[in-house]
Amino acid sequence: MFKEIIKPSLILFLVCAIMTGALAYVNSVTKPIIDENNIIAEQESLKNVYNDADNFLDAKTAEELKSEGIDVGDNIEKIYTAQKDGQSVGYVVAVFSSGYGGQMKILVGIDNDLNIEGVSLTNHNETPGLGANAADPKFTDQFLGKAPETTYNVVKSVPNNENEIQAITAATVTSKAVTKGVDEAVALVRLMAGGA
Amino acid sequence: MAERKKSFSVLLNGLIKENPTFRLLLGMCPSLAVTTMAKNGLGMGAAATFVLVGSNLVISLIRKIVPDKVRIPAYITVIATFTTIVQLLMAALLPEINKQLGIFIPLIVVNCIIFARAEMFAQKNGPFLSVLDGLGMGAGFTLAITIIGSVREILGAGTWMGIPVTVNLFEPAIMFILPPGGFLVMGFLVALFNKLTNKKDRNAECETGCGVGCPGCSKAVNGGEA
Amino acid sequence: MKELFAILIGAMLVENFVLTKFLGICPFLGVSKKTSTALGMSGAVVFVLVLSQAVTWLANEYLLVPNKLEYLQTITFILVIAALVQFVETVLKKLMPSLYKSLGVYLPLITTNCAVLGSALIFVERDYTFVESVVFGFAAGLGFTLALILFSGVRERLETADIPEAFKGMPITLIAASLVSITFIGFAGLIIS
Repeated sequence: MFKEIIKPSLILFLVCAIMTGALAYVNSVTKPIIDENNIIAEQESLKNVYNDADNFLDAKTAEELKSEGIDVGDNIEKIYTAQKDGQSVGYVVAVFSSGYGGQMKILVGIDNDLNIEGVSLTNHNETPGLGANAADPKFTDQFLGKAPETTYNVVKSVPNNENEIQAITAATVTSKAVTKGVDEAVALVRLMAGGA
Repeated sequence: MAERKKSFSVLLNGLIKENPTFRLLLGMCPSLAVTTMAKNGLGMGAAATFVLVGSNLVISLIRKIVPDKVRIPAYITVIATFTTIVQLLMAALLPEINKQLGIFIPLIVVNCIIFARAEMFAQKNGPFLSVLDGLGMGAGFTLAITIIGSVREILGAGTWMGIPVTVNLFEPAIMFILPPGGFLVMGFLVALFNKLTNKKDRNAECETGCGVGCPGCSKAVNGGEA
Repeated sequence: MKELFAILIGAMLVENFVLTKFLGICPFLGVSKKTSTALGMSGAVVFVLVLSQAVTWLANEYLLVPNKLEYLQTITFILVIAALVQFVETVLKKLMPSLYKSLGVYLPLITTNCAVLGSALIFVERDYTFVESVVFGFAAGLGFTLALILFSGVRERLETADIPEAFKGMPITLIAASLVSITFIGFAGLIIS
């Protein structure tokens, strides 16, 4: 009995216990570093779309906004307040959009006067060399400047109007998806800042 | 002197003669999945080497205490522990590469190379040789997937380790960094490896390794329980 | 319902585990020599995947997350999967000998199939609900089946082909897999809402 069942179980338990102990220790050492990394990475990605601001705070999720009675688009994830010298100057909106390779996450920095400060794709699964080019400043810089009164319009030729965005060759779906995300972000900020 | 020679051959074994990727065809999933860039190959190789060395060492130390009945779960626990440690370390120290490798870091736990070495080597040898075997196999794996990564990155993106190298020589073919390119490059590299190494040697190896890959090692995994 | 359908098609075709995500390559290359063995293996994988998605989801939601033990995910999942495979094997042997006969030999190979652990890690990453992760597991299994059966057809023809010495065996199989994989790129962009 002892040899057959108890001894193997005991040894297996011991192995598991020691290994889990080792893991708990490593976790306790690395956890603070990982958390800090995540915060730094988040701040950096925000700074990327809103270079003018020096601090980002108050991330509000879509649910929180809805409970405040603000009409939020379906794909908004959250909205950060961008500050400069302690003054709130604008917002960074995190929004999801459906691209060619599935969902992608877009960050849009917009100031209180509805000028677009920056657009970046933080998480996407688009085809390298085609749709993935939407992450290039060459494409995203088209959005910079005053947001149009109406929505953006994706065109395949050189844009003539303010609100026209030139699609990436052979990646119209991705281009439209990014544009849709930016539109939704602008709509939200217009509600939050423009109404005042 | 003989002792020293043996250690040396154990260390070198994994590099060419029993190269886990090109020769034993073990651990194919990460070899194909993360090798869109040379840098990723290097990162993945380093992570797997850490797990190999760690689990080989511990398994070789406990091989005499652990009864046969619970050998498999005990080994899986050890390997999973080292995998998680490497996962936490990567997230803390190399967040950039960690993000690129994604779920393939935790998937090291089911990488056949690790279990195959535990069963075939650490199970039968002392801690010192087992660590050397882990190092050698890890180096072989790292070398192989860095080569695959380099070929795919140069042909598919025109860069190597992120540095542009082909400038105007040719237009990079995106296909190489897409999934089909992984299979294709791997196929040609295995063929090249076959061509360059001794043919007779290869046939002897094929009886155990070639073509079966993971199913072969899974049999070893479950043999003890059947 | 719409989301579930998107997950189903997505996991089966758009991000086919074998041909675009490189999960489960080893059994894909190992047992695709004949269509009959490919079928057996696929059946076992679908079966275990659905079960393991359910069990690992519950373990994650009710054991790990409430106790802030997320760092134990890998170790818990792999042990749960290994135990589950063993359990399924024993139960099938006792209760359904005929099913065991056709799937039995493939079951032990599944513990080290990275598609199974991979699916568990993916539902964590994507925050799937219980139903979503089970559907995802089922669809991933179907995708695996599709790839395996398609490819076994290709391989049966390779047997008789005249191939240069160095390419015989694994190299030519990989190159054939590359061609099959190209066809699956065509599915990208299938789901656009």
